[in-house]
Amino acid sequence: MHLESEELLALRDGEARPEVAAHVAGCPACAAELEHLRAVARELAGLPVAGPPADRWATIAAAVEAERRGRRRLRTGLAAAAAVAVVGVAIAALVLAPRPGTRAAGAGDAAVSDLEQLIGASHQLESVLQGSELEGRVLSSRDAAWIVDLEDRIALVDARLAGPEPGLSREQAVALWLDRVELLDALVEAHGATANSPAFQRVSYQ
Amino acid sequence: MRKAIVSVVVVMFLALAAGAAVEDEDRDQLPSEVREAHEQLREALETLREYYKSNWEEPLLDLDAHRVVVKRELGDLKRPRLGVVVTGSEDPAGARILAVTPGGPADEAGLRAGDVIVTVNGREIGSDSPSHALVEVVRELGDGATANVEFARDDSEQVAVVTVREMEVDNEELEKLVQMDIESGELEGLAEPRELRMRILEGLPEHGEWFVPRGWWKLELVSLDRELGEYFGTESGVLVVRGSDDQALPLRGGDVILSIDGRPVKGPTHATRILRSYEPGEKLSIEVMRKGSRQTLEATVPDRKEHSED
Repeated sequence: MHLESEELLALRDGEARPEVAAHVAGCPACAAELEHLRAVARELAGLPVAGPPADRWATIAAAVEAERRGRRRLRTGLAAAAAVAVVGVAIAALVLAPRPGTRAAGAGDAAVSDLEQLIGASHQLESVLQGSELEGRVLSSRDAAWIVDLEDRIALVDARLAGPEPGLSREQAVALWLDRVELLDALVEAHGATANSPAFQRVSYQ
Repeated sequence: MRKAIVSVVVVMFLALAAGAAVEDEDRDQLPSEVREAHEQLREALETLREYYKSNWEEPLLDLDAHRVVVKRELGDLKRPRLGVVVTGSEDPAGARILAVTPGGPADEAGLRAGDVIVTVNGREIGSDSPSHALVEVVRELGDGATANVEFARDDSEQVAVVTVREMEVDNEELEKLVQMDIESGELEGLAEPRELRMRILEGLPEHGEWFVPRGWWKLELVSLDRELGEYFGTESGVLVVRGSDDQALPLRGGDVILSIDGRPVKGPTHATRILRSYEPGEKLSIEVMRKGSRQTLEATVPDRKEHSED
């Protein structure tokens, strides 16, 4: 009568009853089987730690991302720079335009014209953002938080511009649109910065 | 000033020329050109701001007035909105969109500045007080409702389906943030340009990131597109490219986040919006697709300052 495998395994792992050990001491067949089980355990322990399956999804992500973004990243960046520069020229032209020195002397008319220019600048920057395909990009939650923060600040400005009470003076409107253009410009830059971030390149060019 | 204008024009032509010959450009040149363009625009804006400050009889916003405005706005965030700024339009009669809030409901639905909103769910907006009319109709719809927005673009009539919603901002945290801005004494409007500019130049967010626990900063996300969606067996969701450093947030590379506490996740910025809305110590459950099967992961939001690096 030889021992069952379970009893031998228990003995190997130091969990067997005393009579099992006594039997093995007097039984060459069971002793040989025990030695075999110990050898298997040693071999298993010597194997390298099994890793997760190859990161196939990452490879797919890289291929898709590289295909989708490819050289377009460069074009988008330069288009953004061109648009921002054009907006800069428009705003700078406002600064340079002859205007009355005080509000009483008719600065209100200048404000109307400035307002139109600022709204146009805001429109142009929005167009750049809409072409920047943010949602197809790898974003760290830190960068995403930065973008979301800027969006919230713009939303607050918009809430004031669109608020239920009209009542904004021209000057207040100009101030808010100035803020909006500056925030939009920051957002365009944030989109551009994340397009060139290490996180993005890690996926695209690994 | 004239020198500044000339340099802006030079930058513009450089950028346009580079845009035409993009295939031959050195990638390394891109960031400095872009930076320069942004810098020029900011200088121009700053000069205009200074002009207005020195020519207006009354200061735009003194701090006390500003506090009142901020308080009112914070209270007002709790109304559903489309996320547009409009003005009256006579032909066609309606609300001409001057601005679309980035990331807002109208932006997501594809509305653009220049479009004229004619009706919302069949109700005519009219040209008399379109702002007021829109606020009222959207308020009646309520948070999360969908609205059929009929609008004119160029010469065609189109319809956008917009899901109106309250702003997903944390009022309490936002109030603290604005209070910090106020106390710094430099705030002009609701945005703080100078501080913002420093943050951008350094490439380091200071306020926005404050809402997201530090241990989560390295979490990297990307929207699923069709090809990736097919591979992962889900049509929607956000792919985790890299997990966070925080053991308490058990997301791993290759997980697809489907929803957080039942809220479907639309993209990386939307996921971040949801994640940052929790307070330290709060628990959240995240539904993910992991290795082809749906699982629900539990996480506890760590202290915002906790991190593993320094």
